[in-house]
Amino acid sequence: MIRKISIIVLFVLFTLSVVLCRNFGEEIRGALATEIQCVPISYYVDEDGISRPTVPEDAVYSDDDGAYLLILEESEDYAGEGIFVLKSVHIAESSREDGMVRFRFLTNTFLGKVACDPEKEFGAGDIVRIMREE
Amino acid sequence: MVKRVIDAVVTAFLVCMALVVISPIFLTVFFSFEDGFSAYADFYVWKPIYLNALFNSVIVALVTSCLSVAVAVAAAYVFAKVKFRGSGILLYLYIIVMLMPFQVTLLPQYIVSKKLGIYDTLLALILPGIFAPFAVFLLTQVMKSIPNEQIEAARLDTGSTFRILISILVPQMKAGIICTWVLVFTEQWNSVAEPLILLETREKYPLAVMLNEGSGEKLLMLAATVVFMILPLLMFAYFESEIMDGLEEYRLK
Repeated sequence: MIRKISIIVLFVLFTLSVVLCRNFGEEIRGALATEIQCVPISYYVDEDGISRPTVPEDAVYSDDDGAYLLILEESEDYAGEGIFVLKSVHIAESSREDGMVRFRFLTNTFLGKVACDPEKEFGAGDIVRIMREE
Repeated sequence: MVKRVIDAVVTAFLVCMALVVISPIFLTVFFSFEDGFSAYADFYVWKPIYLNALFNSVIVALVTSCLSVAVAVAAAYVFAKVKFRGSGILLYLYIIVMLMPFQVTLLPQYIVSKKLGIYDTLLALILPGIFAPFAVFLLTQVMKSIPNEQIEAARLDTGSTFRILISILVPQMKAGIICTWVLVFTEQWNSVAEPLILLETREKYPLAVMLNEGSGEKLLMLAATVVFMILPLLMFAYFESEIMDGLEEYRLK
């Protein structure tokens, strides 16, 4: 009897874990991902000063006031959730203002300027959530 | 003395063989925790397509096995207890279909699912599974073991065949039905070829197919394999005695 009850308990736990993670996956991912406040820039200015609507993935960002260049890749798994996988981090120059490190990041579709916790270390493969400031 | 030595050698050999069989399962569980729980976090949270695939597996296996057993109980009653011309030939055809390699019927299944407009839906997997002959054959064997006198006695009380089936026959076949249900569930749970042929959209794949796809993500695949094993193991643990009784019933026929 105890064996059957423990199997039922295990089954209920397994079912709950699957159902909860499936139904609230977006919320869980959002809560676990590193949040980055950002100001999206809808165009990209290349080396010749020409504005381009999208940012090429291999673009070299000429830094003027930023610190890091984070190249983010939008994953198909989280399409539309504003969650990106950090593809690579290029440390250019850091500037600390009000205890924050300023970042620049680059995605497939937009270029943004972000401010992050200076204690936070980013690396390739990290999953981050972009909070766009309106 | 010689007998004891032979016993020891045979035991050692059997232990080695048992290790060969069991070690892949232990190694899978062990290596899935190589990076802590990160592989499981990937499975449950960061790679939602795998959880979705698990959900698809549960839907297909559960719906197919339940409906298959329901259909098979009725069909088994007809094959075992109703006398009509050609029943032997019909059962013989069922057995032939069951013995055929499933690859033979894959192309017709593909064509039929296209014609019915259920291609690339889970129904393309569920519908052929419900009417699979395997469950009918097994339950026919179980049904044959129930004496006809019981049915004749029940007929004195009620004229309803359905009531006789539900109240008299099904309770006596409980072990056989549960065993059949678990076998059909496991068969559907493990199927890879049918989903690959009958489904196109990756989001609709069951987990068994996804396990073949992610060879680049070793830890995630190991974690997915462990999760994939949990449900059949729990089912077996819970219904162990019924499964053993059911298998015994098949053997006696």
